[in-house]
Amino acid sequence: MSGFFTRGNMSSSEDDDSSSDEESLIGSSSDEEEQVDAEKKKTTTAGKKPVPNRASQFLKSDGESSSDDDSEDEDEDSDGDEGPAKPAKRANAFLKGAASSDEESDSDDEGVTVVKSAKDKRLDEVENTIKTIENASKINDWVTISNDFDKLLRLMEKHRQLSATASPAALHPPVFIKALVDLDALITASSKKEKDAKKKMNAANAKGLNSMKQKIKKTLRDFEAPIQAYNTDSDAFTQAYNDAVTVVSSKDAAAAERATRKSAADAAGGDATAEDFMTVGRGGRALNLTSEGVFKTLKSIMESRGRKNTDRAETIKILSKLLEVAASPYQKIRVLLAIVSARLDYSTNLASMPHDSWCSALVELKELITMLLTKNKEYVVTEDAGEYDDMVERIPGQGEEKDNARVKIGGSLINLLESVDTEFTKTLQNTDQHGSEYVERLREEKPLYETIVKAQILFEREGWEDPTSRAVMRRLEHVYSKPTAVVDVLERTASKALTGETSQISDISVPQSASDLVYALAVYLYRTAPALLRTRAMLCHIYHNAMVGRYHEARDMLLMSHLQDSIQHADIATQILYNRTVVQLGLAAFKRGYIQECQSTLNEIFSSQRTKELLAQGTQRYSQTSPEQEALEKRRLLPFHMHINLDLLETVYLVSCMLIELPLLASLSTDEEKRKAVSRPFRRLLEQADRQTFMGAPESARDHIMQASKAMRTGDWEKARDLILSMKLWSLLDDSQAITERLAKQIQEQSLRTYLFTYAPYYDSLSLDLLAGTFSLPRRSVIAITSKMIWSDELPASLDQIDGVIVFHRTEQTRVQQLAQELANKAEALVEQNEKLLDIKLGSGPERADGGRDRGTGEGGRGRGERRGRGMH
Amino acid sequence: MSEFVQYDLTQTLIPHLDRHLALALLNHLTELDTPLYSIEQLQKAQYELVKGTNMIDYAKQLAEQVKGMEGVDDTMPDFARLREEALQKTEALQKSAEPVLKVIENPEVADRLKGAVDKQRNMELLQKEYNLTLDQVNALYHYGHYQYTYGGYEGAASYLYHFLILSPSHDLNLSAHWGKLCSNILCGEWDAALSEIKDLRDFIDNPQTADQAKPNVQLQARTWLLHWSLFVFFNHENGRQALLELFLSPAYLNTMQTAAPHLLRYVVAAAILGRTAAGAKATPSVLGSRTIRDPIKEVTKIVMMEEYHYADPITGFLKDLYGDFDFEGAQERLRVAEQVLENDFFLNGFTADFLENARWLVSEVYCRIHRRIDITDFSKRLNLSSEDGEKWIVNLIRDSRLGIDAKIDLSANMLHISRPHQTPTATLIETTRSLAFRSQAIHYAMTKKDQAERGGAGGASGGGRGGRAQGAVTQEA
Repeated sequence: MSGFFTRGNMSSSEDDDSSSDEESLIGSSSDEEEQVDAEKKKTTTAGKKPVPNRASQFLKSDGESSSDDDSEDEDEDSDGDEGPAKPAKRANAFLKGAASSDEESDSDDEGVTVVKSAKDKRLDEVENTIKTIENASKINDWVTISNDFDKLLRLMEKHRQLSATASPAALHPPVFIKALVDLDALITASSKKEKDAKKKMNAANAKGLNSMKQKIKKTLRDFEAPIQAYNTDSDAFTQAYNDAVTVVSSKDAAAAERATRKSAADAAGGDATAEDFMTVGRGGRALNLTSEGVFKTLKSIMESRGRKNTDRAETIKILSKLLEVAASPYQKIRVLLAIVSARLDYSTNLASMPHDSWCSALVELKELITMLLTKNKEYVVTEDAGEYDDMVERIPGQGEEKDNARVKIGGSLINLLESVDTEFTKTLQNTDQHGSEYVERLREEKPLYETIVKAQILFEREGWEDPTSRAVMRRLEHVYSKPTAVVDVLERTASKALTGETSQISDISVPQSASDLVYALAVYLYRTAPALLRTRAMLCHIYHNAMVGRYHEARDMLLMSHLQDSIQHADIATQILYNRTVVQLGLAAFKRGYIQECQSTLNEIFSSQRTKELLAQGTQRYSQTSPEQEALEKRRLLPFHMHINLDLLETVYLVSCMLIELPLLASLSTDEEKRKAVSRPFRRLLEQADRQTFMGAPESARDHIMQASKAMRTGDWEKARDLILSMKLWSLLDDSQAITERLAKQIQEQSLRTYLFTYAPYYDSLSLDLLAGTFSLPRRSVIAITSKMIWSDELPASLDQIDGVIVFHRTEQTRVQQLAQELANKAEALVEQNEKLLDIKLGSGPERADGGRDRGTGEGGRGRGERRGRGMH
Repeated sequence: MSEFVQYDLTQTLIPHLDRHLALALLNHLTELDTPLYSIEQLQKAQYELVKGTNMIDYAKQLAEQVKGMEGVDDTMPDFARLREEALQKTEALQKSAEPVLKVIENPEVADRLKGAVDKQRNMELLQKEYNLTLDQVNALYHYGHYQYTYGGYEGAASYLYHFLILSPSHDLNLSAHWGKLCSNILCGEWDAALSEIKDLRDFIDNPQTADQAKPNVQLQARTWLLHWSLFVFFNHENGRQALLELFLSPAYLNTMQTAAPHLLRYVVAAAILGRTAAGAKATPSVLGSRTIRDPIKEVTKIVMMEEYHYADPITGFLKDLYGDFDFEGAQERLRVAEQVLENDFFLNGFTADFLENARWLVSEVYCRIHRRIDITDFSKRLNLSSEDGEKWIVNLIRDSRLGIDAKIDLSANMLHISRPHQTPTATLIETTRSLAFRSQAIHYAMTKKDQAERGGAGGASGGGRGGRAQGAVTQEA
């Protein structure tokens, strides 16, 4: 690489002073154009003698490519006399620019041979190898011969591949054929000798000879025809080869002439270097602006694709020019296919694609899909298009395609579509989330969505199951987490763009409501897609259900899917989706006022303290993560617009914890019991808050909740309620009015419970009316709450209906009694476990009747816990 | 039309029932004192149902009733011809089934067949010694099936019974089991039906063919079984207990929650009705599975869980009482529930029982929570007049199953419940009392199982459970 660059620089620096010389060349070179043959003869000797003027040097380089071919003995010295050859080399490189776009004859090791055309280089190599073989044969070293012969065959194979376009006569250099014939003779001779001499060779050598014998037999068979031709008339054969090669090189020469002329005209001052190279590019293309040229250029671009030193920007430029000139639909489709993948290639080393480049890729992809979908139904782009000559225009029902009503073109639309979609996410990941640019880019989702829907319909029409489900999945992923209003906009544009098309999966003639759409897409995927997509579809469906507030459906679906058992084996993207779904379910529970469910659902995610990573909404720096890991994690992050509001989430979680934990904490009398926390994060915060001597005015959501908790513990429910409800976050929830009202009521009730637990030891009896007044609850619900506490043995008390009071039965326990009671409880638990075990052993049902659903959640928790361990590592 | 129509489950139940079973439901609706639906509607529905069967005389009778009604197909089928055809077919089928019957009715054969459990061998035996082919055996099934379609339930039951002894085909057997269950139900042979339910349950839980093992098929089969079994459970004397066992077993509980939440009504009813049975002593389990320890508690949990997609006054009563402790609400529900029960095909025989037990539950909760109760208020909660309430309370105290030491103070018109103050030691004793015994029972069950295994015979689980049940009795003593 570096060598290449230095060379390149060197030659370009020389270009500066040489450009003027070249201008002066034009006159003479145009003359020579017509008489290439004569010129070539002249230059066969050029390499050896010092050349005084530059014009002939330039000419020499032209000839060199062909002169090397026909004269075997003069080739090596061209590198030897560096001095005079240097400008020639530059000219050659310059030539090559034209040639490479025309014919593309370079190989991977091209870096070194900027100067020399790759073909020449290869022929040199062929000759060198033949020479080594000859030398080895003199000393009967069959091992070397065998190795070199292999090399020779490889070289020839390459040669044949690359000059496939040339005439058949040019395929077989006479040198090679001659070497073959000689070798054959030699082998026959030496094997005869070997037989006579009995023991003269060592084992390795003999082995080499034997393998050579096999190989030459095979090779002779392969090259039967040319060898015959050579044997009958070796001169004629050589002549034919030379002629064939000359045609090619004269073409090169002609191109070079024209290019030079143009460059001369263009180079009216300015940076000559840039000008030179630019012009060549243009000159090369100018040659191809015929319909046949489109295919040629495409082919050369295809071949250079993926090489180290391909100029991707240039490729894209050429392709977009080609797109302008492409005439027939077939050409257009081919060029579109090439340009979209070229644009995607462009960004392989970048963090994300440049926005405008992505936009054009999308526009082109859309154009391609629209073409295939509506105007040009007779063309199909498929992965298994079979063999076809990609240099020929193909029209259905004509020429080669006589029997086919539809023309198949090789390419994978779904891969392009998925890459474009993935790039979209990447651009979003790499854009400032709060800038206007982000919104700008997000706006492109509309055409992207439209393209996906179009592609889906196209695949559906073609009856391709796999691409259809992948496209549907992409579509679903664009829709599932969006609020209804946004989905409506997307759907409206899509259905507007697709009037007249039909789809089995979802009705596209009218815009669908978000829920119907998600349902239809998910159901389609359940039916047809492979397991992974099905899992993802299910999670998206559940997520959506939870998001729009259908808590029960979402919960039942999640439990019935049994995903919690297997999710830790899924890929990380799916695990993230699972986490998101679970969290969304927790939010849905909260919205519906199911505090207990909300708390237990969210607990797992929060007790890890790594919420951000689990939801792929941010990374945390750890000392042990390597940069690669960090990059990997960054790539997984979701774009900002898909984030779940973490502050809201935490608030919801902590508030649920507060409502559950505080009464529980108050009801426990011993420290032992208190240590068992339902929610550790909340407990920790509470302890922190307790340690603080001063409490400032609440600022963060946490402060609010902590102060509210303190207030609740002292029975000051009004303060607690006001603190909680004063948080602005609630307005983020839909229907926040109802939610906060419900929340206020729950705070009231739980405050009452906390109060009763906390102060029961200090009262003999409490008036129900007083309680109802203090907590502004109707008397009926005070009775209900206390009844429940008494019934479930939480509160040792009973109601007195006549006096309307609660009477407490206080029992004081000594330390010994306490411990004894604890022991007894544990023993009881043990016996219960034993009984359960026995039940299972005896086979009367694997679990208790109530196990069905409750266990589901429990297992979900465990599954999540395990996964957290490996989650983001 | 009354307010109770919304609680009527007939239309929800019918899709899961056989035509003949559904007919019973419809007939019940026509006999109600306060009809929920117009008689014309019901007659039309009946006719539509019967049209699909071979009960031609009945269909004809119904056809005359509905003739000319709106929405009825005017072109009546030719009943006379149908009847003729049916008779012919019966004869033909009977003839084809005859040879098998002859062989089976031979007492000698019956003895030999009964001895062997292996159906394959039975079949071989019959083929070898009596020249019976599989087709002839299947003729039994077809004849039984045909008899069923025209209402010959008894015949159908007996033919299918014989068929089941002989046939090795899994698919036909399953179908025959369903047929026999249906026939038994319609004949009122509840014991046979109960054992049929047990068989079917085995079949569904241990599917024989891949087709039967599909989750969808299982779900549907379970849903059917749940529905059909209602007929048995509310007619058999031990039915309620069996119902709880079946419905609360995990697989069927899930089925109910997914496919038929409306069945919760019957579960709740059974739990409330079964209160006395469960409280008195652990009855030996009917369907051969474990007993439910505290059905009401479990059912309450399920009711609360499923509240979002099924609720009616009966489930609502449980929720109000045990979930929200809203006695006034529970009382209101009970009032509505009475009428709903009256209208319900399965539960109408149990209305009084249900109310009695429900009152019982309310008073139990009430007494456990309160120390002093106003009798007038209490009676009101129980939907009783003041005097009836007093009587009820006296009975309650006398029948001191509650373990409540209560006294009536008539001058203050109140009930005073004194609860012995529980000392910590007493609590401790309470918790530990049964531990040793329960462990012993476990031990006993395990050793018994070991022995049974050594003996090589099945029924190990029965032994284990027997141990437990016996233990429970001794504990009571």
